Amino acid sequence: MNLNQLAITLIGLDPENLEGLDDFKKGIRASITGSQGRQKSLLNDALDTAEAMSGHDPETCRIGLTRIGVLLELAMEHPRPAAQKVGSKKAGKKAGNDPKAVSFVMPPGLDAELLSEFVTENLEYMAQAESALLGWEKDPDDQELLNTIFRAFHTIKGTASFINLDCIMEMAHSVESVLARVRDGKTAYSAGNADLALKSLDVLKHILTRLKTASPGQPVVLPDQYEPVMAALKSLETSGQTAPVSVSPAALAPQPGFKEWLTQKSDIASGDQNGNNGKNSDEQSDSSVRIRIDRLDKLLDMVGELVIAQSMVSQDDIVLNGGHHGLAKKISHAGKIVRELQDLSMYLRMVPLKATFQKLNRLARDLARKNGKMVNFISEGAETEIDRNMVDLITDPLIHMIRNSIDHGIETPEDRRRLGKSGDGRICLEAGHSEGNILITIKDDGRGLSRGRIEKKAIERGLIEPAQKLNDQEVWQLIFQPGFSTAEKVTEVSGRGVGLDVVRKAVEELHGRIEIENAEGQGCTFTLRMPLTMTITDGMVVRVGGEKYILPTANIQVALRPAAADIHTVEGKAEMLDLKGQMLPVFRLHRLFGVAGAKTSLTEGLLVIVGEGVQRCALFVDDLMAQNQVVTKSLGNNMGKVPGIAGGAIMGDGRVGLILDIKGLITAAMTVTRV
Amino acid sequence: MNNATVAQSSQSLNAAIKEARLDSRAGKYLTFFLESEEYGVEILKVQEIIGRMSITPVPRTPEFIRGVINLRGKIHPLMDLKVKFGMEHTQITDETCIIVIKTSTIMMGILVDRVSEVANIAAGEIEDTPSFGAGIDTDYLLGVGKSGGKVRLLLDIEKVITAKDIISLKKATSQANDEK
Repeated sequence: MNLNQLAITLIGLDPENLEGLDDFKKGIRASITGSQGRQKSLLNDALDTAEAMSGHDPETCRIGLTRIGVLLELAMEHPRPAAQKVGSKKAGKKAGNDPKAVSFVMPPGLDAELLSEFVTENLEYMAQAESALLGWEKDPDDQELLNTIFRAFHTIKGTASFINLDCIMEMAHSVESVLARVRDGKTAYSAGNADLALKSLDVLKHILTRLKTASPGQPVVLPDQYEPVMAALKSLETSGQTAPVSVSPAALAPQPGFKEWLTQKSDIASGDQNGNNGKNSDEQSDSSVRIRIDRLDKLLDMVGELVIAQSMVSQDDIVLNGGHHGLAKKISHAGKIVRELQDLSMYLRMVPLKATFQKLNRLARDLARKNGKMVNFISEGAETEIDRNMVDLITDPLIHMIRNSIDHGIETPEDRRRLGKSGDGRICLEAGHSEGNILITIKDDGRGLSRGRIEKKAIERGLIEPAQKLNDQEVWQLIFQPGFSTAEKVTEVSGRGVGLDVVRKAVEELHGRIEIENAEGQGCTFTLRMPLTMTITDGMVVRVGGEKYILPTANIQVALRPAAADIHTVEGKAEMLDLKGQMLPVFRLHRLFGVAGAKTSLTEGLLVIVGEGVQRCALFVDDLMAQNQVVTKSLGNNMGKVPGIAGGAIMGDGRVGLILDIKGLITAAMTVTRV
Repeated sequence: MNNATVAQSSQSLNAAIKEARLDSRAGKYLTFFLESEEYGVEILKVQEIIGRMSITPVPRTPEFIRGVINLRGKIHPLMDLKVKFGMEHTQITDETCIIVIKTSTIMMGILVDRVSEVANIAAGEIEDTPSFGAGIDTDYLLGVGKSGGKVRLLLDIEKVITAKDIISLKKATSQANDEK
């Protein structure tokens, strides 16, 4: 028995009835003799686990089987012994020059546009299949989910055969056959079926991403996992009597099983239309069109220009003071339409978080299995929409936080039971809107943060003074400090803190912030609060000499005209403001930016308090002008990054206004003044 | 194939390459003045010419970046070409123009004193840039165009824009004029 066959046997094992376990153990023992090094020790581990399982309750067995699965997987990934290499060599000979890599040749004459459409479309189907598979795993009796999975794999198979991509077609076909056996009751459902289907999806996704960069007639290297997964599928497929083995184009014609399913499907549809309304809601795709993003951006630019042009007309002297009431009325009507158009155009860029949430769901599942933890992952509000550009930026921090929750937050099932909690941990991912912001919460019921440990670590790391009195929020924020994440040994014990500084940085780049609610021993909730879109900045126009800058409102804490008594000079150079007992450095914007003709006496202008923590300071400007909502734009590719400037915006008069980047500005100021 | 034919064919190849290079330089140029000297930039790299418009200065940028401008809703940097070439700041007058340069990687305005004409410069009218000696960058020139009794320095505008420092071309222009 080779490892693939072992894995298949494992899939067939039922935690409640371990009849086949002895055969399985025999198989492992046989494999151990044929293996060496790391692989051998992995297999030994698997055998020990299997031995220890007998006589335990089903749930423990289930965890044990999962663990064995992971070990087997690792053993398979490990460089195979010489005997097995021959096999892969043989398969590789077919197409590639590289004897080790298995590859296939792209069909020559394949239209690039067609291919890219194929890739995009199929990635969508795969996403559908993945979400359905994850659901099916939880509820194997749900026919509707199974049908969705079928539909997706069937479409993938059909389109792949249309453009002659045999490797994709074969795999999709095999998955379909395996699932058909389960659906038709020929094989009993086991977690392994879904697992295998998910793995096939991963392989297919890999192939698709490689196809993106391939050109017709060129060989494409198949992912390492292709062969083992394919082998596993094949043997599951043929272990019964009927499933077709060879895949010829004729096999693409709806098979009996498929036809049956179709009729079954229409029965359901006609019989029970009212019943499953709610259930299907996330499947009903709205009718939509794909638009190239550059065209959309151009449209938004033009709408922005229209708004400016309109406001210039409405502010014109003839309209305002010319006494033409009819004209003024018409122009104000046009203005209303333009504003509505602007609001609408902002929503064009919004996409739902669904795809991201699905990715996280999968990640949570895989991670939990790897760590031997039971996690019930619940997501809500996946339909919440967010700016398209933000989606990619928010995914990584979320992955990080989910990983953190599973690694350190959720306890092992045994620990949980000892603590009187249910064995299954719970992670709840929720998205929603609040006050024009988007909120994403990640809530777990794990061990939570330990205030004592964090403080101890922070003192060791020199992040805080032992005597310092911090409130809870301040303590929690410590885990986002860069120094904190390197404390590996302690974080393993105390939980939280691995790379969370990266998370905070990413969220800050999105102009958002993270809040933490914690109950030690009961769990922890992280809330990410971000603006809906990064393209619009709420800003305050400040005047310095003849120049105007936009200061993001989110950065402003308070603005005040200082009394002479509150200003202190340090060594005749640096200035400090006494704000209710707190000394803040004063930076003069006109000096930082070299603007001539600005007010020079602090008591005549305004001090704006900005920044947080060590960066908190008072920025000196001449005056605050008006509050404004502006569309953030880049200063052009050839401009590079300007310290202290976040970007530009087109102002009401058609001029370019510069948006200040408070963080960059203060960093630059501090390096210059050296306070 | 003996040595003689190899040498011959490589010679004719070199000649062909030279020809091709010359040909690639020939074509239409937009010419403009910086003070009294005339320069040319390939017309295919010019998107448009605009008159004076309000310029927003950007702090903490190199001196030759005059600021940014709003071109139909997009923001583009504006380079003061005279400062880039080590001359005085451009004084904005009624004749001052902004030439918008667009290539695959660059989108930027350049500020010039006066736009002159669109000139068709043939391959035979373009001379390789003479070596002006140390301290003068000739990398930024495609060649010297001599037509209709005028001498124009043909700029490799992409190199000019992407160069990080100030380029000294001042002497190059006067020497080229002397040669005339």
